[in-house]
Amino acid sequence: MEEFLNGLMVTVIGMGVTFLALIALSYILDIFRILAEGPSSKKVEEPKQEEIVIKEEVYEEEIPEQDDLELIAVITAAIAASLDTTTDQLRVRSFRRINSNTSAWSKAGRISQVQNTF
Amino acid sequence: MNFINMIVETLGDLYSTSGFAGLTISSVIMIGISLILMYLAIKKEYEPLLLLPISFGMLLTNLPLAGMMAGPANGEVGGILYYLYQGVKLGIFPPLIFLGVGAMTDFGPLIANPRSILLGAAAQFGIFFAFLGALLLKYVIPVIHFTGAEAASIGIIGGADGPTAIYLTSRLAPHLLGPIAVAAYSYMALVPIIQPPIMRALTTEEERKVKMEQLRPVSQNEKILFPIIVTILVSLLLPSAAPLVGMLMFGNLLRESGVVGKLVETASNALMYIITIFLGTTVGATASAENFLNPKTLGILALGLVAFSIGTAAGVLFGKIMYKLSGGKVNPLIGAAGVSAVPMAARVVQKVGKEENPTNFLLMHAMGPNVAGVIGSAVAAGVLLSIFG
Repeated sequence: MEEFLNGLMVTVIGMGVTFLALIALSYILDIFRILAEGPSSKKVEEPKQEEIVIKEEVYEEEIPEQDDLELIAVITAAIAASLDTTTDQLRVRSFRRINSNTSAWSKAGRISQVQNTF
Repeated sequence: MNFINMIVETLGDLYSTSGFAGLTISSVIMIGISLILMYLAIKKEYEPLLLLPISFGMLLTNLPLAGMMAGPANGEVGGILYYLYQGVKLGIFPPLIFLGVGAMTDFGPLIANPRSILLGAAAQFGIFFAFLGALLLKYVIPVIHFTGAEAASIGIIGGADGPTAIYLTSRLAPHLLGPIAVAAYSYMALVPIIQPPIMRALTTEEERKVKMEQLRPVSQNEKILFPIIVTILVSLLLPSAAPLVGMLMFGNLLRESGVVGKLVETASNALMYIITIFLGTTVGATASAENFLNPKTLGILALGLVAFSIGTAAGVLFGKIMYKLSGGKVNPLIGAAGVSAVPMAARVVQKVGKEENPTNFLLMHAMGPNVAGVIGSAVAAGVLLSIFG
């Protein structure tokens, strides 16, 4: 019987220490969370809307208009990813094509160079 | 005539120095057991990475007169397995395996959901339940009598963590290494069969269907700080757990630091597999007939199963408490992953959750308690080591 009581004591101590260690750890991780979310929660309070005017150079000139929305979404997402933010922080105000000044010859030359590198 | 006598005599001498003369019934039985384990490892793929070396080590050690596990005596050197075994005996190999495990483990899900760590603590109850069971077994079956140190080594099977079980057993009851390692790795392989019925029996359909919120992303800084803080905290609280937890966290720091890719690769691949070969064969080699063919082995196998089952049940029940306290946000199934057995137990949780609700993905939520279970069982081992060591 005494052996059983000793065993019970080991069990209580063992589970106690295991819980103690992991509870302590879990609270330390809460501090992590606060530290990690601190700056981001400020962000929520004052969401800075980065307004970026995008000027995209597009070679093809005959794209039907409804494709633009999709294109804007893709470009916005790409910019969001490269700026390490989310798409709702960005607003695309302007999106227009720029007719390039380069001649068709230099365009063709550039394309062939790019293709050759691969 | 004289010539024939000489031949017979020489053949007789040759026979007496061959292993056949040394074969005993018990060594034949042990060779048979090792062949069965080899079959389970190769054909059934029960944790083959460990069970195959263990079973072959068992075969080698039971071949008579080969002396693979014999220590140096009378000026002669010992067997190769004897020297390799020193890595187990001196407690070197299990922490090195933990180094590799740490280098492969992502503690992100645990950092993202700190409360899930408690499930990893709750599931360690299986260890202590089996420990008590081992102490009391002699009142039920008088021939099986376990000392406190032996009972602690048996209980640690419930930690469902091979290196931890081997580490503690090599310290407290090295003669039981064979049966305990076999039990631990066999039951780990059987986790997909042992756990689901317990998980279903203890939870309602509604609870199993709970979908959990997506985990927040964890920054690299947090991931780097985590292993450092765990090492300091656990080693200060429980110095006896430092070898296991320290090496686990060192491996993890290598991984998360992102600046020592080569070390991570070596620790989690080459080094770990080299150690696995040494560890497996030599742990198997401790299973000599006198150590293994013993009613204690049956007791260990039975208690190991109890430890696994109770650990799972305790995790799930604690999960139910968290389900109630969180207002139904925590799926209690993830508690079952608290027994460690990474990542098998987490996969089982995912599978059982998906059966109820095919759109439910619990895997990442279960990884939190799962890796917490590794820390939890190392801490529990540390407690047992400091009490019985």
